[in-house]
Amino acid sequence: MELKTVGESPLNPSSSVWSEVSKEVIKLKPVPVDAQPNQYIRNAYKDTPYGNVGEVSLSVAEHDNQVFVRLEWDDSNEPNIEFQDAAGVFFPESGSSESPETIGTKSNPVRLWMWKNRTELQSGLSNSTDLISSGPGVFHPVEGSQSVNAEASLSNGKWSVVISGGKNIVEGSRKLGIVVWDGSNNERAGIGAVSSNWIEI
Amino acid sequence: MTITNETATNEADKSSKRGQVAMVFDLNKCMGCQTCSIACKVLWTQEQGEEHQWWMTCNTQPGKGTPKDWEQMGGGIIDGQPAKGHQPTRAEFGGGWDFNYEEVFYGGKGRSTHLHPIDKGDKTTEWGMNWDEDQGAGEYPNSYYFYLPRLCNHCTNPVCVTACPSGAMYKRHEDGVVLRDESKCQGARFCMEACPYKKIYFNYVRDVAQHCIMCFPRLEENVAPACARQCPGRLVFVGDPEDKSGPIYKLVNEWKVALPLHPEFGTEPNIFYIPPMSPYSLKEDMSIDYETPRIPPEYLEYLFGPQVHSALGKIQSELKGVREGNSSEILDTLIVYNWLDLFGKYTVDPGTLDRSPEKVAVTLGATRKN
Repeated sequence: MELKTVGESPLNPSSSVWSEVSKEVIKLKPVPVDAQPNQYIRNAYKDTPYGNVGEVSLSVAEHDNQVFVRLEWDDSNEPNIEFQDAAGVFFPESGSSESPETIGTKSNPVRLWMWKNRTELQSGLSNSTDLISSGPGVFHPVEGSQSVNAEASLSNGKWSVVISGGKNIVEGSRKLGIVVWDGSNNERAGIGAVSSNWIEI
Repeated sequence: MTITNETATNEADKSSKRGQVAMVFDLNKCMGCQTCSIACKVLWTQEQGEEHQWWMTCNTQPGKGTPKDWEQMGGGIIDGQPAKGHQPTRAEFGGGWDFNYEEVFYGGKGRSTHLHPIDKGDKTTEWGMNWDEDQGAGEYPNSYYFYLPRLCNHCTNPVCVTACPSGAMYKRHEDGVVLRDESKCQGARFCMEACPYKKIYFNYVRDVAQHCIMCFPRLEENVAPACARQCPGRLVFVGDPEDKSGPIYKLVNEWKVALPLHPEFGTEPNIFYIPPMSPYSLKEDMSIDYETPRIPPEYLEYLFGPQVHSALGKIQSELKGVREGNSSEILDTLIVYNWLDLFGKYTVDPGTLDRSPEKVAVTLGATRKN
């Protein structure tokens, strides 16, 4: 997929810049229950349907040494006050041949840029986090990082989200994975939908 | 309060034997005054997002408790395996209300409306931490109830720690206190699902889970937890359950009159209870029925397991002996002639501690440094 250079920051998902960038539909599937990081989650979710979001529309662009990843997916579910919709894009270390479906492993962690929809109560929190992921839900913040940003809008039952971060993170492997959590289905951590193949950019 | 490894010393000398602090609550002394709840609330959960959090609660039994119907929410360890549980919702905890102060006191409607929680449509006004107070069960004249104080059980097998994917939760080596490093907590709440006692709360403002920390900054200064030290009934023992000369070891292991709540949940709690003795039932003619305790034994077995019958039998036997003129170490222990005997080594008066702002800020962590 082409990493198109654009003339202005396209952090706003409604930016007209995105009309110049090609889209690709990416299929998602539930993060494997067997790969969940502990016995509690494996036991509790083996018979619980999750991974509600089956596909996303993906676009990628770069501007001023920043990479911008735009995701769009259908979501007509009623919001859940307990869990919020969220999405992430993640990048492997150079040379890693592991599947993206576990969002990294202990031996091959990935860099995860995560957007989370914030409630009114959480207005003091950032909607984006720069994380190291070494498995489904095994997320640890990159200390002191302020390099990830996100903007999102929900309109006509469709989320449009742009997540951005430093191009240097992408340059190593030049491929990415996608994870989406449907808050209305109590999805979070490793309970979500993930791309089963790396997307080359 | 924000808990990080800066505030909780996690890296103790792992070569030493794992320590544990335990507590015993004598339910025969508990009058449901909520001083324990308030002592905890005032100390730990007064910040934004903590309004509905009551790390220490005291509920009337039988009852639905807090969160509502928590005993039916699953979790725990069954046949050696962590069992699926329900994550209690904000509505099931209820409470943390805003009131219509403006309308009543300043809006000119003081004579036409009354003070009440504001209904925000989220069902949080339909339950609270002590909603079914003093309802109990049974029919007059054999109605009955008793009080059950509850906090995190700081379990020996903390399934909340097992369930945490981010490694935020841990059981502290030196004293067995179960803590959460909030800088690692991602707000996933599997801990809330897995905990069978449902004593973990969620901070909807800061996007992290929170629970009783057994007043670890006090323990580190040899001060008993606030719920125990403030208890007017002087019914809460605190100490090392392995100390064979201490009251907790004797009550739990030697005399076997202190029992964990719902032992079938499988997590091996370190909070124990002296089960409540029951008044006799009254017959229709209001004469005493010496054969029938007013609290159904099967209900106490439901709460404390089958050992409850021998525990109560032991206490009744000791009472009988004392009435006949004998002495009883068990009853002397439970009477607590000397208040500080409750607290093991944790007898330091918190009023004697260094309370300078610099010291308090370091003890309480990042939030209160600001």
